[in-house]
Amino acid sequence: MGVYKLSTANGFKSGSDSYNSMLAGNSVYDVSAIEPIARFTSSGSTAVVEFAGIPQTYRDLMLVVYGRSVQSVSQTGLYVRPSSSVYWSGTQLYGDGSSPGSTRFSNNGSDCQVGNMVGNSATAGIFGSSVTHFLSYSNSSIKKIFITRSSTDTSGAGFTKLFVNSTNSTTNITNIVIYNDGGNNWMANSTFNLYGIRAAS
Amino acid sequence: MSMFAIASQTVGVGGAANVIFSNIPQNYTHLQIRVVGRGTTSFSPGLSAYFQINGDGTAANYAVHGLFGDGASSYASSAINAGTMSIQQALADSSAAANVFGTAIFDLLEYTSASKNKVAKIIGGCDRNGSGRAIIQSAVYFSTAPVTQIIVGTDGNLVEGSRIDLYGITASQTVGA
Amino acid sequence: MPYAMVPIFTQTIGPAGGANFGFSNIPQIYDDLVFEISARTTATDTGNFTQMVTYLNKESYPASTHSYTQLEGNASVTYSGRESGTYIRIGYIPSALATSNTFGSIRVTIPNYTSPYFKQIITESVSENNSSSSESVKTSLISGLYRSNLPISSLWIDCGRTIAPSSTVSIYGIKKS
Repeated sequence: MGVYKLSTANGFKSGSDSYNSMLAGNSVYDVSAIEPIARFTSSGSTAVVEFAGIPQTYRDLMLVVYGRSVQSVSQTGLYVRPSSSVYWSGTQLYGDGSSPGSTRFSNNGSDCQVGNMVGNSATAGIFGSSVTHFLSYSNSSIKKIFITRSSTDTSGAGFTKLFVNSTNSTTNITNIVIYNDGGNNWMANSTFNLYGIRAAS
Repeated sequence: MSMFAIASQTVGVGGAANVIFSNIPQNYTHLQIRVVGRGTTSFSPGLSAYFQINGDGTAANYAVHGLFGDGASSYASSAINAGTMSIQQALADSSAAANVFGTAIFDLLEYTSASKNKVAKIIGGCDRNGSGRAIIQSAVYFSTAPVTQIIVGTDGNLVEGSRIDLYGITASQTVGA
Repeated sequence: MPYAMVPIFTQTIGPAGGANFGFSNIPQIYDDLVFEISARTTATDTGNFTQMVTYLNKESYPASTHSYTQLEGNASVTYSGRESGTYIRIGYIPSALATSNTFGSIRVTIPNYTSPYFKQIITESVSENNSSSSESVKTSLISGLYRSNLPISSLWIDCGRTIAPSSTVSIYGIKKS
C-alpha cells in the first residue's frame, strides 16, 4: 500500500510523505464523538414524532427540534419523553421578557415538558428551537436525566428556558416521543434531529 | 469532524473521592466535560460539582457566579476565593431517592491559551421530583497556564455509577472573512 | 463513519484589537450552526461587561428583522427583558474594568440556519470577574429571532467597542442525518 500525505493543517506542502497504512503516521484513528442517528421532517400531518429502536451504543443523546404547532396559540409546550417510564418531573428556569422565574412539575404520569415551541397564531414563518441532552440514556442503573434549552422569541413575546427533567425509571431509553400541547400536528417543515455522543473507549 | 472523546471514567464499587484527568492533550481548542453524578453527603437540594485545575486549590485563584431556578423563583449568586470551579447544587445528594443523579455540562474554551484566564460555562441541575435546581453557572480560574489536569469531585465522595467524560473540540483553520 | 460536528471557520483578533468578527460565504450544507465565542473588550465606559450582538446576513444591514428575549443575572439578582431591532444580543463579555486576561464565553446555536423560514437562536453566555459586587458580571440565557426567510450566509459579531486581542470565534456546522 502507498499512502501519500500531501498537505498539512496549513495547506499543501512541497513534496509528500509516504506511509504503509491509512493511519498515515498517527497512532490511532480518531473517531468523532458526535454522530447523527436519525432525522424526521414533518409534512404537517404528524402529531407525535417517535424515534424508536435507538442504538444503545452511545453515552448520551442529543435532540435538536425546530418546530411549530398547527394549534392557534402563540406558545405551546414541548414534550419529550422516553416512551417507557412511570412518571416524569422537571424544574425550569425561564425569562418571559418581563420577569424571570422558575417552576416545577412532579409525579406526572402522562407528560414531560422540556420547554416551549411556537404555535400557529404567531407570525407566519416563526418556529421555536430546542436542544435536549439525554445523559446516560443507556445506563440501566441511573434514573434518566435530560437538560434542555428552548427558544421561542416571537418578536414582542416568547420565552427563553432552561429545563432539567428526570424520570423515575432506570430503564434504558430505546424510544423517544416528541409532541406539543393537545397533541396537535407539527407544522410542515418542523424538523427533529437525533444525535449520539460517544464516550471514550 | 471536531468533537473527540478523550477519556471516560465511571466510579466503581465503593465510590471515589474524585476523578482525575491528567496529561490532557494540548492539541484541541476547547474542552467539554459531561458529568452525571451523585455524592455521599446529605444536603438538599443538591451538591456541587467541583473542577480543580492543574492541581491548584488556592482559594484566591477561583471565582464563580450563577443563575438558578429552584422551582419557585429564580436567583443569582456569586463567590470569590472559591477554591475551585464549580456548579452548585447540580448533583444529587445522599437523601435523594435511589438512583437519582444530577448533571453538569462544563465547557472550557481556549484551555491551552497562554494569554487567557480559564473561564468555564456550565449548565446543569438535578430534578428530584418535587425539588431540585436548573442552573447556568460561570467559573474562572485566574491563571493563564494551559490546562493539563482537571480533578472532578463533589461534597463527600462520588458514588458508584457516577460518570465523567472528557471531550476535546478542535476548531477550523479557515478564517471565512 | 458518520460524524456530525464540523469546524467551519475560526477568527482571532490580532494585537491591535478589532471592530468585529465578520463571516461570509457560510457553507449551506449543514443543518445547524454553532458558535463558540471567547471574547473581551478594551472598553472602559460600559461598566464591567459589554453586550455582544450579532447581525445576520450582514449584506442586508441595517435590517430591523432581529429580536430577542433574555433571562439575565448579575452577581445578586435576576432580570428578564426583550428588545427588537437590527441585531440580536447574544450575551455579555468582560470589559477592561474586569479582572485582566479574563474573557467571556458564549455559545450560539442556530438550528435550521438554511431554512426558508425565520431562524430561532439559542444562546448561553457568561462573563467573569474577581468580584461579587452586583454589577461585576452578567450571566444570560437568550432566545433570538431573525425574521427573514433568507438562509444565513453571512454575519457580524461585535460589541460596539474594540474587541480585545486574542478574542476568538469558532463556527461549527452540525450535519444532518
